[in-house]
Amino acid sequence: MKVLDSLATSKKTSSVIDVQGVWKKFRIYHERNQSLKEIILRGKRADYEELWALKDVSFSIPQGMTLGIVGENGSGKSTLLKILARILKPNKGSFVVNGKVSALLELGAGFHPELTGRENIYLNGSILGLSQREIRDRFDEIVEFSELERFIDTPVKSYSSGMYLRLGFAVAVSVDPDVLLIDEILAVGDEAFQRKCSDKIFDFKNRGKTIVLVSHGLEAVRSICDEAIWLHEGEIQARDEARKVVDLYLNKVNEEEQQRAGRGGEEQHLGTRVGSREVEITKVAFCDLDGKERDCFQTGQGFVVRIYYRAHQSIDKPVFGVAIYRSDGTHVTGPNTRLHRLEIETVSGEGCVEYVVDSLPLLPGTYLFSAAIYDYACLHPYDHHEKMYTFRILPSGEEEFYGVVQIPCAWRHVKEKP
Amino acid sequence: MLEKVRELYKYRELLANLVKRELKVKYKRSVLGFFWSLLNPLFTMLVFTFVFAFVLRIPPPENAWGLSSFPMFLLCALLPWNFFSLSLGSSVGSIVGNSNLIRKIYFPREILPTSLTLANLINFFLECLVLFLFLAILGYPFYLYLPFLLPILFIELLFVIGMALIFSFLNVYFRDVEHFVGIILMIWFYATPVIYPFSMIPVEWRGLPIQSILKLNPMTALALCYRDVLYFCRMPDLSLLLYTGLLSLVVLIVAYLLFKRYEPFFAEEV
Ligand SMILES: Nc1ncnc2c1ncn2[C@@H]1O[C@H](COP(=O)(O)OP(=O)(O)O)[C@@H](O)[C@H]1O
Ligand SMILES: [Mg+2]
Repeated sequence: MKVLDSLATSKKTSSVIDVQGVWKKFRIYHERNQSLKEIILRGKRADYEELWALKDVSFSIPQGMTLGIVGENGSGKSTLLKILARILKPNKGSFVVNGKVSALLELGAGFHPELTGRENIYLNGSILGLSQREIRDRFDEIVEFSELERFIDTPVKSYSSGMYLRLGFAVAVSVDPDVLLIDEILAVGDEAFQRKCSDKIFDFKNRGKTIVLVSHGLEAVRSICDEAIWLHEGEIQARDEARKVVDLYLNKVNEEEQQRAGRGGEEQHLGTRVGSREVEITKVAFCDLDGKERDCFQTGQGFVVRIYYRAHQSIDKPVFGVAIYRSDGTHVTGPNTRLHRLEIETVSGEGCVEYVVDSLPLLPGTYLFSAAIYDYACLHPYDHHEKMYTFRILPSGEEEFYGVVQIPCAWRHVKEKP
Repeated sequence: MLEKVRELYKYRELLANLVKRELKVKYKRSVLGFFWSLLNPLFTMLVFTFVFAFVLRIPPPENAWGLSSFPMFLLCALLPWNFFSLSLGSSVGSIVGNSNLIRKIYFPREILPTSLTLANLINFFLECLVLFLFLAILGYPFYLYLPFLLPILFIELLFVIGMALIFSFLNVYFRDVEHFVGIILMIWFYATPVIYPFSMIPVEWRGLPIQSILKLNPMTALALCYRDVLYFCRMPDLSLLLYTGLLSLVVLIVAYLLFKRYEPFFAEEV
């Protein structure tokens, strides 16, 4: 408590963010198909369930504090940030945010692929509320931070995902906000980018700005944040020094993990699962070409993996991917729908994506299987089941036996040099 | 309402930038881009002239100077109609289509349909310049009452923005509105005297004052006013203009109220 007191006195006084009894409700539609036609035919709007994503959340943040928010997926962290950013409106309760707010919810949202980096800086800057003059003044800084000097007049559709992220981040922080809201962006991009981001965040912190940080990286929360809030199913479970809250939260997570391991079969325990779960993988099934489910195959047989999903909201352009590892960890393959040009416009509700291999080239052994759904940039995992599934290839006696795969081939004996 | 205007003013640069984006993407930066965009009304004019003036023999009315030309008669109403229908057609999906922005960033949502309407307005201006050129070459003294074009244009702009807002809003809650708009616009087009002179409509039909009823259609009123100024080179019917102005204001206020009430929930509905 002592630490808290001293923090409170040193960082001082009036609160920049004050949230009072905020409730937020979402409607989950059973069919996403709301249309005039339906209403005319059935005389009512689509059925829906109500879900309280935030229940009576109250807290305040003094000037200059960095507050972390931790909690499981679906606990309402993003919803809370979106309310603070005025994107969502609470159903009950009130909140005040004093000062200019910049929300880093998704980097580069609003970039237009056909426009150049330069044009997008102006466009995105003005979406974030900057005036032309302010953007002009900060232009060089933005370009320098994003390291895109040479590409600034190229359309952003030709940017790599790293370039895209850097530009998005650079524009967002150039707003020079009093309050910075950050959701999970430390989880994307490469090492260098993440370092750059956290440097910038520390820079903001040192300049006495107020920051709210949502992160899965509990280490980041521990090291950057002064205090933290633990959200659980839309309610504040704890609010204390960041270190303590993270420990509390970790304890709870570990406990649950153990319970689950005790109860469930080993299949459940296998592998790891990450993602924000707006769309979830509900089942992964291995089948033969006739659609019969099985988990043993032979080299050269047909192999179909069905990835069943359930989308809790409609998601645009998701990318489904799989990966196959040999039991010793060798990564054999990792294709995805984007690589193979299957454009899935939107998913909503339930459905299934099939990964079809006409003739499986794998040699006998045990294989681990991952399935994942990512956003179009392949940066943000919606649901990633890493090595959570296994299947086996049984020997038939006809296949090769050196190596990992059997590559279709032919041998020729050529007497003269060709 | 004042508050809204102030907020929109604060975001005026975003509005300008979105309009620029729209035009840039549309013309793909090519100088020829704009000329290509002129081809569409030009070809429509040729086709309609062929079908309605040549085949069906709809006679273009004569103005007080004894001038008559079906293509000019057509264009004077077709260009304002196109401004309306293209704006509505592109705006209706603008909120749902930018869900990615709306779910991630706060800004006044009405900027999206408004920016598309303004981009179409600029297009309309450019087309008007070409029309003026044609009229001048053919010797129409359209400049006589040209100042009246300003209030007419302004009223049409209010009406179009209001309609664009209302339809883009409806489309958030009923996704098939986007598909209905095409049909509505088609019916509306034929109900508006674009390809035929309004005078061809009987004043009365089975006891119904059909002409007066059709004049309630604000697009009819606007088409008549545009034609008065540009084609007949005379004073537009001011009572008709007043009626349209009031109606446009009502439409805009309805749009404003709908947005005020529902806009905060767009982020979770799109
Ligand atoms: N737009 C939406 N429509 C319906 N439900 C939503 C929407 N956004 C979030 N939810 C639901 O609200 C809950 C909280 O979500 P979220 O705030 O994204 O959690 P977190 O960021 O902590 O993972 C989840 O159950 C999620 O499914
Ligand atoms: Mg989240």
